[in-house]
Amino acid sequence: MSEPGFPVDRRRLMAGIGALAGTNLLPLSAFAQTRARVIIIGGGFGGATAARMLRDLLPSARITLLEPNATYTACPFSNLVIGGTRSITDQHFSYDALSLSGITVIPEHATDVDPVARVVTCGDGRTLAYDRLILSPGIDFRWNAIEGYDAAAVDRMPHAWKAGPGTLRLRDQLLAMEDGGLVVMSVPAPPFRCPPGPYERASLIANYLKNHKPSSRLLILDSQDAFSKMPLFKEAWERHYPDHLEWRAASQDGRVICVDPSSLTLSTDFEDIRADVANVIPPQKAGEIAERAGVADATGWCPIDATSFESVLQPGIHVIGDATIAAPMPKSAFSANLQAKVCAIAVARLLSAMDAQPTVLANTCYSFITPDEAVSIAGVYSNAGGKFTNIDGAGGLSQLGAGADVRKAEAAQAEAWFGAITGEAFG
Amino acid sequence: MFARSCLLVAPLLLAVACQRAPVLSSIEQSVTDASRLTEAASLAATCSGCHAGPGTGVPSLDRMDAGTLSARLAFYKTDADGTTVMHRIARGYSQAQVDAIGQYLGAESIDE
Repeated sequence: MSEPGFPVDRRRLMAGIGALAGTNLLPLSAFAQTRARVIIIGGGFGGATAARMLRDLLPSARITLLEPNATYTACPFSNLVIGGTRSITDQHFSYDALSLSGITVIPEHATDVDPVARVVTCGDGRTLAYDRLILSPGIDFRWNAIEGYDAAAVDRMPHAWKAGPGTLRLRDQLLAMEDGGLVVMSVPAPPFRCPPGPYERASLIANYLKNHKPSSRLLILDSQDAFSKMPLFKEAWERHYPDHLEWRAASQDGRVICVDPSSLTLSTDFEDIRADVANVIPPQKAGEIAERAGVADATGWCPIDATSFESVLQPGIHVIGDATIAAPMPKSAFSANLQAKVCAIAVARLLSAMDAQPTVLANTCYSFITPDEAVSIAGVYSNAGGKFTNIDGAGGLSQLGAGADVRKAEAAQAEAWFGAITGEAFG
Repeated sequence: MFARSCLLVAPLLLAVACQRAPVLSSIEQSVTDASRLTEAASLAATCSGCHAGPGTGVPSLDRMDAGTLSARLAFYKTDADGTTVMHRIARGYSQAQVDAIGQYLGAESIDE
């Protein structure tokens, strides 16, 4: 009873349980551990937010976060780093605020999960028992889904689809490229992290070329025929980058099926294209631990009950963020952060012997079309009945044809969003 | 508030403990404030994704009372000329939900 803030009423409650135990109705093991144990795997926008929210909602629970990186590098806004107008250090966040709030942050990978015994194994061999596990593992890549694109190819052809060293490598390759060069970007078929992300990146690379290497060009080879915020991006590209950006749809032989990193060649069905800088965004799946925990299905992603975020494959494990099958909710930082908060409420309710309750969720996603102009998409969703559904009549895109004042206002709103969401996740 | 939530949980705890003893460890948790686990709390969870900052670019919701919040959300629902994401988002909520969000966040502002 020496824990700080342990309330008087709880002591009375414990005395009551003790009396009950005296009647031999309960096995002694029931008293061996009296604080709920919640483990969160993955310290991105989903996992860090879930840990902080649960710390807040359940002050006496043991909240443990497994995250191998001491510093988090945020993906949103990292395309500005590639475009040369933002520093990577503006993308860096620590877990100090989480540790200070009483969350146990373990700087290890989770290497295994036993969903029956409810035990997580850490990279250092330690095992941790949980009552509820929240997986927020983000994405991993399907190496060789594009022939020749494996883990060894990322130096020559960075994906930069997890912000970090690859972000800087791609930026530095653009900086080192001689004027007159060809930049080629390969976009995978959906689903993938951040649906409008490739097109924001294309805009900001084209902006860099226009201003610094005006004889150079960006070619987007796409496995899609339509994409997120397409009318807004096409409008921006016609206005700002008519000489610097070309988009080739899947149906126009845009799908990359094979690459050769040594010669920087990308091949479609009918053409081999030699790039000076190649950015290959590979096909994706849920972060690897999802498969080992048994919560990913044959698609590589994680089916969940949308109301509780509990896996439909493994009771006691909740999954949030990019790893989930949550369409029509997109794989965005906003979604991960909000899913974390709603999941935390559901977990706190379940640990307090209450059912998870349905609610309304929203998503907001800004994309930069130039370094100081942005466009947005919003959506509103129900998670009733265990399924995500669009709420009709809500959501949609920024207005087509709006002036620079509206675009600049949305860029300022994007900055505010980034400050708010990183503050909520990392303190 | 703490005392009230404990009183609510106590009978549940004992009832469940008698049936399924091992679950005891899981439910031996009382939340600080049961009002934070309500439908209103989960509806309002969306707002802080953008509005938790100091108020630059996007307004801060601190110090806004329930009436102001409800009225602003209701305005966004019906304003046809708007260019912000709030115009597109507010249309997804019923008036009752808008009021619940206003009351929840308004009460939170007073607490602070």
